[in-house]
Parts: sequence; structure tokens; C-alpha cells
Amino acid sequence: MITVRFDGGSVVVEGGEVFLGSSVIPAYRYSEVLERLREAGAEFRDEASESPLCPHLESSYEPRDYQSEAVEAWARAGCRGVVVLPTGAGKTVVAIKAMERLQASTLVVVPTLVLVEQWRETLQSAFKIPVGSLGGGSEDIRPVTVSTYDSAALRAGSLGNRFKLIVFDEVHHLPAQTNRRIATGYTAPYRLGLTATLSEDEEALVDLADLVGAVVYEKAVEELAGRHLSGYTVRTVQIPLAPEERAEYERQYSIYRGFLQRRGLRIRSPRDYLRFVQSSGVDPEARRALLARNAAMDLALNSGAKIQYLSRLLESNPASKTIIFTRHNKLVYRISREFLIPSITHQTGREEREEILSKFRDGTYRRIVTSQVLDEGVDVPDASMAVILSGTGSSREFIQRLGRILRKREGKEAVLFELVSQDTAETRMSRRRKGA
Amino acid sequence: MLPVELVRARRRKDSLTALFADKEKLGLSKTVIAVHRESVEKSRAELSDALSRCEELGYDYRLVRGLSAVLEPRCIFQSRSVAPPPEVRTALFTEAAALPVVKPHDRIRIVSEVAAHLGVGPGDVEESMYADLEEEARLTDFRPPTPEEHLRLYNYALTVTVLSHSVRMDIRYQGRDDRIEKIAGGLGKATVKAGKTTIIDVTLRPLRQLSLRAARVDSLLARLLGTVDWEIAADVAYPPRYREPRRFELSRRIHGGILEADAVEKEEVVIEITPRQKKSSLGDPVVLEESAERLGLTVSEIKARIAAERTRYLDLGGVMMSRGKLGELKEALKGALDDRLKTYQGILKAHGCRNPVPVLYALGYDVEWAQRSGDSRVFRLGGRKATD
Repeated sequence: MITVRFDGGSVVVEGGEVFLGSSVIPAYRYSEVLERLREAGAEFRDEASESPLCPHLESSYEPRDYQSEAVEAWARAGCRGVVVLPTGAGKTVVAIKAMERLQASTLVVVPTLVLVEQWRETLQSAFKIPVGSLGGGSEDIRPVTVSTYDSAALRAGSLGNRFKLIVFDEVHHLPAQTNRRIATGYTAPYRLGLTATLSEDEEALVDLADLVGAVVYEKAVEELAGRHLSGYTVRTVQIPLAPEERAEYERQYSIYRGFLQRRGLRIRSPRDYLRFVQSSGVDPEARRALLARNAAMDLALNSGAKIQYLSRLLESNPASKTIIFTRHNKLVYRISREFLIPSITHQTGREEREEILSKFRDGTYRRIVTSQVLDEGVDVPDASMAVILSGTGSSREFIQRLGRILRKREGKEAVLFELVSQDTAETRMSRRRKGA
Repeated sequence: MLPVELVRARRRKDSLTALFADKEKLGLSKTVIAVHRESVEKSRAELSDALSRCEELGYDYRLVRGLSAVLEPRCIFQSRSVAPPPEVRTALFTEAAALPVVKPHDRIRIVSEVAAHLGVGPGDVEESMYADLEEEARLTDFRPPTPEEHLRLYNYALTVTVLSHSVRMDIRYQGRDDRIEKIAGGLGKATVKAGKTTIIDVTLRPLRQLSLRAARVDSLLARLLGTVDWEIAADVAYPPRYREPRRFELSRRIHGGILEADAVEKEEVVIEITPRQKKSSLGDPVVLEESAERLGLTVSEIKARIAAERTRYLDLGGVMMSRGKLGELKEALKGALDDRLKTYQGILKAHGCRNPVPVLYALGYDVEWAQRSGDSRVFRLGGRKATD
């Protein structure tokens, strides 16, 4: 008789063939293996799955119409697929309703330790059951467990057959090489991916479709703003550089431009830029050009004029809970020192970060300055103003940052200020991130 | 080892040549050493800026940074603050929160008030505010090598980094050395042919954690350098994006004089098994929850006691330890000869950790637990993103 076993992230078929090219198959194709065996009418014993009995999962959450639609669409696709909803639209509720529907052991995978705690608390309070957690020193495996991507990848070999459903929060992280191990090393036949922003990279999308399932439901910010999310305005403010900054910017940028012209190079895509950066490793002139470009961008992104504008903005909006975003930590600390505003970066300890967020939540603090740590995931309710002092050209980053201020509150009209140094390369970056 | 992005190597046909630093680089070595010497009492950020200026001299930035990277174990960085930085920040932010925006005159007043409240000067408040940031740490001690030694250390680190990307190694040396055989066995499947010349053929396990692999390669190479007529021929998959391995060859005859393992690191591990600093009453490191339970206190009370200590502790998320201890443990763990949890627990216990597993987690490691405790393995997690 054919036996199907789980072995360290793979499914092993012993005593027969399933025509999948090998007798050792990546664990994520487990259901396909069973399907093939059934189709062939083969007699087999399935010893692969060891998922524990799951307690009854029922919550009192009342889903909004679009959340119900998302769960329906996912169920119609065989309980596999990706749901794309803006930040603040309640992706967690979609996961909870999907779990209620399946009543199966579930692993929720999230990118950060902060999110492990957030999800664990939410699921415990929703289902009134103890929820396990994995990562950051915690090793508590239960029928419903929340794990970081790192820990789930490391434990694929031993935990890969313990869950029937995997929920991937911020699923756009999944195609990264180390994270793929979670998708390929777990047998879970049911998979739900959640994100606010999917990659535009087609290769990554095809990858996601294979590992999790296709996009089954999608709603953009504009579709939910006003009714389910706060109404919002984006104001892009062009700020001229100070004369001395302008002179230095032109000097540095012309070194970069001159290099491109001399070499007949054109930077038309991220790939072109990557090639230029790679060439700077072996070509001293390219290295000088790269450093000059960085210096120019540093001036544009972190200009003194922006800081002055920020000061006026804060003064004229004293009551608005505000998150200030920058691209680099250096600027975070400059603003924190100058305006005595609490900062959160990757160097902020967990306890201090929680204290800052908690004080922001209860209104003790009304401003936070951060680089990219709060771009996604972290639950920061009720901010009504965001100021992007600097960022990248990524539309995902822009949407995530906008999402930080969109949680619905009666009478709230969110506003996002984007400060851009006029007539610099930053203006192109600003257009790119807004998809203009 | 060097950070991978600083490796200088040339691929030609089927071979890979590491671009070692030769005597022509002695001038640059002297400059880099001088920059470090002159940066004593300055912050890490200032040291980094000074090194960037060396790059402007026209040298390959990978060489400049690589030469600097091998000096890191010879530097002691310490953060200096009169008051605990998180306490200073909380006081400043709370005081400032009442204002719509803090203008320069408001700032002077708030800093003075907080200083008075903490019983320190306004300058101390400014200095302490972000003193716990990595880039604010001050270089307090630097043990310079000679420029010749510096270049040999660089070449050695470059070799370790390149060899760490091997898929196969052929090692030869005169006589027998059980230690080399044992370390080679830790890298993968090793076949040993003993004779006048020992030949070890190692097929390395797939690369999972570069730092762990590099620690083993480092031990192997350091030991091998002490043997007679050694040779290594390795099939190296570097850069990792090129799947086809290339041949990298080293021998005592050609490379013997240009490579040197840094004895400083090894010396430090031995010395610091007996901690130099007087231990605090709570110990160092302190696993907060474990200590609270053991002493019948709350975590906040434990933290308050730590804050009252003369030594400043870093908060690594549930584990507090002094910067000195952090460096000591990081160095000690680099010497682990295999990835078994027991090995790591042994090292940490030898360095005074009562409860090693939370400390491992705090240091950025993760444990792959196995049913038999002897089979549990330790992994190094990449970067700091896991806590973001």
C-alpha cells in the first residue's frame, strides 16, 4: 500500500508513484498528492498530517459587507487566495471569519514580533481560547498559533504538518527567498494571504498565486474612504531649497549627471539604477557619481526648509494626532531632538515602543516621528494627520503610510501632507509613489 | 569574516581569485589605523564619517571598509550617559507634549526643568537623550595592530569569507591533526585519507547561516595555518547569485606569509570567562521574568534596581545586560564549534548566564527545538528586522 508521510518540509510518497516528478514533493503540494492518488484510485495511507483537534472557533464580530464578500470569494476559490484591503479596513476580521468557516488548526504568520502580540490578543479575545505564539523567545504551539515569518520558516521542518490553514499577514513579504520556505514547507491545504498592497512585479504575483492562491478579492482605498474608512486629503507641498542648499544640490547632482552623460547611460528603471550601483563597486568614477547623487538626495530629502515647514504645520494643527514619516533614521533623531517628539525606529526597544504607542493612543503624546517601522502592520489607531518628510518612490510605502491615518472615527477627515523639495529629483519620486 | 558585500574577488573562467591587500596598501592601512586611533573618545558615527573621507582618497571603498571591519574586534565602544536615556526621553517628551510645537526657547526651558528633576545638568540631559543609540557609542579603547599585521588580518578575514561560500573543499597538510578533522566534519561530509600528508575532502552542507559557517571556517583555517605545507582547493559559489562554483586555491607556499588569524579575539574569549567588571547583585545578563520570579519582585522593581546600578544596562527585550557583557557573549558565541543548543548553553553558562535560552533569543539567535534535547539546534537570525 502507498504511504504518504511528512518529512522535514516535504511530503514523501512510499510504495508507489503520484506522477509529480519525484517521490519527495514540497509539502505545499500535499493536497495535490492526495488528489492524484484519489484520481488514480490508489489505495493509500495518509500519515502526513498531524494537525491537532481545534477547539470550536466562534466570535461575536459582525463583518462589514466587503469583509463578508472577501471571505465568500476566498471560500469559492477552495479556501485559497489573497485578499487585498486597505490598512484600517479590518483584514483581521476577514481572517477571523475565514477561521470560523473552516474550524481548523491555524497558523497565522506575521512579519514582526509586535504583530505577533497584536494578533494573539485579538484572536484570544475573539475566540476566547488560548492562542499560541512562536518567535522572540516564545515557544507555545497550540491549535491556533501566531508566528513571525522567521520562526515559521525555521520550524517548517518540524511544524509543517500541524496546521490545516495558514494565514499570511502582509503576504507581500512571502515571495522573499527565506519566507518562501513557509509556503513550500507547510502542508496546510487552506491558505489566506492578506495585504494592503500587492507587488506590481508580475513574477512575484505568479509566485504568490502558486504558493497561496490568486487574488480573490480587492478593494482600493478610494472605494472604502468616507463610509468604512475616514475621508482623506493628500496635500503635496513643494518647498524650495534654501539658496546654499540649492547650490550644493546642483553641484553634487551635476557630478552624477555628468557621469551618466559621459558614459551614455540612462536610468529608466530600477534595474538600470541597480546596474549603476553595482558598477560603482568596481568603477571608482561610478562610485564618485553614486556618492554625489546620494549627497544631493540627502539634501533634497532632509532639507532645512522642510523642517521649518513642519514646525509651522504642527503649530497650526495643535490638536491633530500626527505621525511624521522620514526615509532615514538620522532625520528621525534630528526631529526628535529638535522638537522633543517621541521617535520609533528599529533601534527602539520593544518596551519603549509599546510605551510610546500606548501614550499616543491615550493622547498623552500627540506626535510620533518614525522612519519605516510604522509603515505597515503596527496598530496605530486614530491618527488624523500624517506628514511625509521623505520617503522612497514606492507606491506600497505611500499607501501603507496613508493607511496609518484612515481608521474611521465620527467626524474625522484625515490629511496627509507630503513635503517635497521643489525642482529636485524628489519630485519625480513623489510622482512615482502616487502612481502619477 | 568580512561583511559579504565587502569581498573583493575576481572571477576568471573557472577560477576565483581573492584580491588580497599587498604591500602597496600599507599606506592605506596606516591611514585607517590612524583614523581609528584619532577617533578614541569620539562616537561611532564620527568614526564612520572619518572613514568615508578615506574613501574619497580614491581607494576602493570595499577595501577601506574591509580594513576597518577587521579592526572592529580591537575597538571597545561604550555608551556614556549620566542619566538613563529612556528615562530622559520620557521626561522630555512628556514635558513637551503639552505644547503644539517646541520652539528653541521652549526647548531650553524643558531641558533645564528635566535636568533639575533628574538632578543633573542640562548638558547631561542633551548628551544622555540618545546615548544608547549604536552610532552614539563612544570608542573608548583601541588596540592597533601594526600595518603589516593589519593587512594580514584583512587577508585572513577575506579568505574566511570566500571559503565560507564553498560547496566542496580539498584540504591537505603534513601529519595528522584530530582537531582539523573534527572541524571539517562539522562543515559537512568529510572523508579523511591519512598518510604522510593528510587529505580531507569535505562536501559542505547547504549554506544556511553564513555566520555559523564562517565561525567554523575560521577555526579550521586558523588551525591549518599552524600546520606544515598546507593547501586548500575549494569550489566556491561566490557571489551567491552565480550558481556555478569556481576554483579557489590557497597554499602555504604562496599565501602563508600574507594571512594571519587575529589572536585578539581568541585572547579576549579566554580572558573574559572571568568577568573583568564586578558583577552586579542581580547578575549580568538579567532575564527579567526569571529574576523577578526568583527574587519575588515585579519586573518593574527589577528594572528599577538595574537602573540604580552603576553599570548601564541595555534592554534587549526581556533581557538586560551591560554593553561589555553583550560584546563578551557575542565574541564567545562566535567560537561555538557546532550549532547544537547544548554547546551554546555551555558557552553562555561559562560566561555567567543562569538561563541561557532567553539570552540566546535576545542576542538574535533562534532555536530549532527537537524532541530529544540533544538534537536541538541554534540558528542566527539575519539583521535586526525580526524585532521591527
